[in-house]
Amino acid sequence: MTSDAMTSDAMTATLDLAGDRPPLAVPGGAEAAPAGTRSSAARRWLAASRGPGRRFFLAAGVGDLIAALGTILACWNMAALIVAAVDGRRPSDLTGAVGGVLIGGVVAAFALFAANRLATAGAARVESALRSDLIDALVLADPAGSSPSTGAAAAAVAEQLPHLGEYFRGYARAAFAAGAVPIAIEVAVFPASWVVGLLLLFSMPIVPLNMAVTGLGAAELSRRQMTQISELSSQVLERLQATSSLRALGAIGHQRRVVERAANELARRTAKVLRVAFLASTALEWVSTFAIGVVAMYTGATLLGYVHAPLLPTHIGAQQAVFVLLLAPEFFLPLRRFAAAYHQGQEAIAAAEVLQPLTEALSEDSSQTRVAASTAAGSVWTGPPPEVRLDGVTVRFAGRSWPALRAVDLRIAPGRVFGVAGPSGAGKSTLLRVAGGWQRPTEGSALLDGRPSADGPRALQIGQRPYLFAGTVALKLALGQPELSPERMWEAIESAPLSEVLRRLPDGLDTMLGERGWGLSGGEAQRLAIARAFLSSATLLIVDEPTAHLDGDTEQSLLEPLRRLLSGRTALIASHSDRVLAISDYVVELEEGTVHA
Amino acid sequence: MLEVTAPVATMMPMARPGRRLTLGLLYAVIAALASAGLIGLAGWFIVRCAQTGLSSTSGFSWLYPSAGVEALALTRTAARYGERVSTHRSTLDLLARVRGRVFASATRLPIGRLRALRSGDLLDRIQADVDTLDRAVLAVAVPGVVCTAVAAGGLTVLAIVRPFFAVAAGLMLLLVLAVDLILSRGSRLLAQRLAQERSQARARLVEALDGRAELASFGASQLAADELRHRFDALDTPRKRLTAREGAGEAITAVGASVTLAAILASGAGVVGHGLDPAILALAVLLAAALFEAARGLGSAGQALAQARTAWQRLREVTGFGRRDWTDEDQPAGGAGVGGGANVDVDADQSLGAEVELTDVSARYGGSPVLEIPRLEIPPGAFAVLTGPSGAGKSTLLAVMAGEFPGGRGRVRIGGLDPSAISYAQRVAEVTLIEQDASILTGTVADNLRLARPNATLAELQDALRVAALDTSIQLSTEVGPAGDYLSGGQRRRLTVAQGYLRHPRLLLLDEPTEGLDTATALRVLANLRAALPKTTIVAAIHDRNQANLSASVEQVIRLNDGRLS
Repeated sequence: MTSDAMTSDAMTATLDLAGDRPPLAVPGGAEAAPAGTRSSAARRWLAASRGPGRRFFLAAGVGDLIAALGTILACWNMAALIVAAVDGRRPSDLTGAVGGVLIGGVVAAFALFAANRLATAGAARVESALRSDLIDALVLADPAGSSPSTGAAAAAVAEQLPHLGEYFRGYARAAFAAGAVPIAIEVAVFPASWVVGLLLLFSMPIVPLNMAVTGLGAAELSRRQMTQISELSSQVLERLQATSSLRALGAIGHQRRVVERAANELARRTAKVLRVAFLASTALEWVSTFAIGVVAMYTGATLLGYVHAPLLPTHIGAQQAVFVLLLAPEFFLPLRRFAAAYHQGQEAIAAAEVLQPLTEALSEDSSQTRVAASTAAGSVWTGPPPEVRLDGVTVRFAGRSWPALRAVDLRIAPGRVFGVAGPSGAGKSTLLRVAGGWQRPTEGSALLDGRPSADGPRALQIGQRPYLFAGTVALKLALGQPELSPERMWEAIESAPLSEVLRRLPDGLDTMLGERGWGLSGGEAQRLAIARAFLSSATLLIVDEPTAHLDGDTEQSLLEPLRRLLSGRTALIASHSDRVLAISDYVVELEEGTVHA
Repeated sequence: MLEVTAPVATMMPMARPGRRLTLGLLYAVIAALASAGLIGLAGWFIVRCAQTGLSSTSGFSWLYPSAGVEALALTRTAARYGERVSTHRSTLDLLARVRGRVFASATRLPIGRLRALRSGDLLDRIQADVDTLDRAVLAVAVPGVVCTAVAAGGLTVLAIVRPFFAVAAGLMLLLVLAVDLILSRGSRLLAQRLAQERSQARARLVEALDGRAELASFGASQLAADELRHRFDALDTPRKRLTAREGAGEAITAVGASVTLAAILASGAGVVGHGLDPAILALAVLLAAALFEAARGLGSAGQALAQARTAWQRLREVTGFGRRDWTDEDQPAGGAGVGGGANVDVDADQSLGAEVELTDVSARYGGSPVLEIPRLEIPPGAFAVLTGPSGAGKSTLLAVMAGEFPGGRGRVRIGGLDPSAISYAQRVAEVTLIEQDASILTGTVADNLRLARPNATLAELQDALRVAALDTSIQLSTEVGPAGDYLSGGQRRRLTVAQGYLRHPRLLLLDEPTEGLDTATALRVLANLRAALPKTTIVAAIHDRNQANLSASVEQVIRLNDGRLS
């Protein structure tokens, strides 16, 4: 590959906005990775996502170019001053030369500063756009589908995505500078000494060669690093959330070692990625210092008049000699940055391989879910109460040999309440989730008014374990309805009934509660969840063990509100309590995943 | 100054690979000196060649300086590689160790404090704040050492050449560093704001992901996504400001370099011919340039230090990590301490159950009393059931007995010991509390059971399943899914009861062990537990009167109402 080809490739990497040409394919080699298709999809995605920042990156590249011009000006005048000293005379234009050094230096400093800021701003834009898609994909994901663990998803947004930001900050800009700056310097060097100009030019192909060789294993190493980032985040988060249980079981020491092992493994994998990057930049640095050394020896020999080869000039001006020597390192600087950024690129591809499937799962597979989830009404069923129909529904879970539900047939007329009884583990929750659209059947079909239940709006859940966000009680009640009127809120509080609970809390509705509703007893949290359901306009409900945490008196006091909540809506209710099941219009008994009427 | 170096100084003793870091710093100094020497020598060499060529005098050897230039170039490149690998590797190892310890400190927080913290916030501290600490090494310590070495060497040479050069370069260097320092004055606040908002954003993210189904149910997904977007985008402002300050620091160093070079050249040009060799002038100029190049690395040190200190403070404020006393519990001496929890001998089947004695015990939550118990005794080996309406204080009473309610008052004795005063290791060997919302980890049923007893045999694990009446519905190899999602509510509950059983404690406290179970299964579990642990004192909080009364195993019924015995 000639230097020209390299330069133009680097240019297109920035300028080719259509993204049909993978920018990272510049120096071949690394893309021969095993996960070829996944990797090339990630590359395309990465290239296409540059859009929002491209003007900034271009401007940053121009800044780099201006900085190079400033450096050329400073070097030329510095050479003039030194040579004047050699001649033992005051330079003809002392102030002009000193001014040149000063102005050149200051221009270079500020152009670099501006270029840095521009690149940062551009990268922030790209990152923000990608993050927006990623957050949508994770938070609005199809709840009936599979999703990554919370720890891994949090790592994707907070740790893997910034790798892409770093990449855009470094690479997009370095690619332009690597093309433009050496050209500018060649233009300045050639008139001074065409031999040195050629020498520098001939040392350029070593850059892509070097990247190709050292980049060989980098893709796989980066991939392993990214996997471990997700792994560590999942393990730490899960164990933090389980701390009090682990502590009670005396398992803290052991679990701490699990986390330490994961952290050490990440350090080890990161070190491997870095080592390859350092090796690459060292090789390049060695080539560049060697080339600078050759330039110094050649100019020195010419100055001394030792050079008597055919075609080569026998003489070089002293100012020219000092000038090219001062400028030679500046020629290699952008190339070194580019090589360093290329390795950021390997990490970026590895990160993109993780992020791209997450992001695109939303836009491709389940555009319906996105539409449903993003409408103001939300994804719950709010129209007339639907008819529920299950035909031969079987559900299997990964890692379990027997099905949770076996060939269940069921029909619930619109507006009816359907009770499900049965021993623990019989599949009651699974049945409710399938009917409500929160779980796809493995076999058979689950229909709401004739439409597959998991594809459209689904049931409002009152679960065995209500999830309550950290924040005030009022905020929890108004989930999804930021403009809820106080009157409606109090109505719901009276219906639940939640007033007893509120009286106990120090600040009433404004009491701050911790994550998962900490500060409330199990029964109180459940009552809050029921109060919240009163505020929803959902007409399809699944109610799973609503009184599991409550004592007999409280259960009794809740039966009437529950009856009111469910009347006129289609609902499934699972419970061990006969009193609760008495709310329903009819009851089936579930045993080992099979319905007994 | 002491305060400034505190994070570095505190981390250093933890750096077992301290030798590697020292080596890295050594490489860094060699690389920087070789680099300065290389640039200076090359300049001197060219001018000398020019002089010789112009004056046609002989006696200058072209070969030796050239060889010197190449040798310095090789040294610099090799040393720089060594520097990068060593400093990064040792920093990464150090951070991994810090991460493990911060996690361990977090797990030792009092339960109440731990629950009040958000798990996403803690996660952020363990991930991002620990990551930020690396800047104390890589952006402060390494460039600091390099700059000091190069400045010492460079200024000495400049002083020998012309004292004025050294004074000019030295003063400008000080000025530049002073401006950097002034620039970094507000950085601490920026760094704090960035860290705080980042942490909150991550905490919200974790909650939104954990509560995804809830959000979808209430049509709040879009709102939550918008809020997250906004929160993460808001981080760009402090982040950009910090980077801008770093860039400004570097730009000012570069301007200082230009001014110094211009001054040296201007004065040099004037004095040349009055005793200053032009080749030496070239050397001086390029040496000064190298000096400022080294100082440029310090341009971002102020911001880096501000961020590292903020991170350090955030790690300390939450977990108490870094306090002098944290090592006491951390390094288990013969199985004692938190670290040794797994090694505690839980096979004390022969020991008698612990007697429970409470005298004048009271507890408050948010200012209002939730528990008021003048006297309560449970004889050793008894099976007691705690009943009462929801919110009566059952869970609080269990937490007090387990020594996990620090705000409680009065005298609590478990087998004659005060549970909140004994060591963690001793406490978990004596008392096991299975909370109502006890967590289950991703993995198999066996993995989760082994949390309670790491070296349990398959037969013991199978036996635990039988006691919890789980042996017919799940197997040891069953995957439980994230947070036990593949299991039913009742199965999850019984799995945690099986864990409690495997501990074979002297006092077993169970909060709603039969929740989500049909009455027949519930009674079977209670009877199995009694039979399997005949000597253990068992206290179970059960709100369901049917289960509480029907169980033949129950020897004592404690009724609670509004925090009082009734």
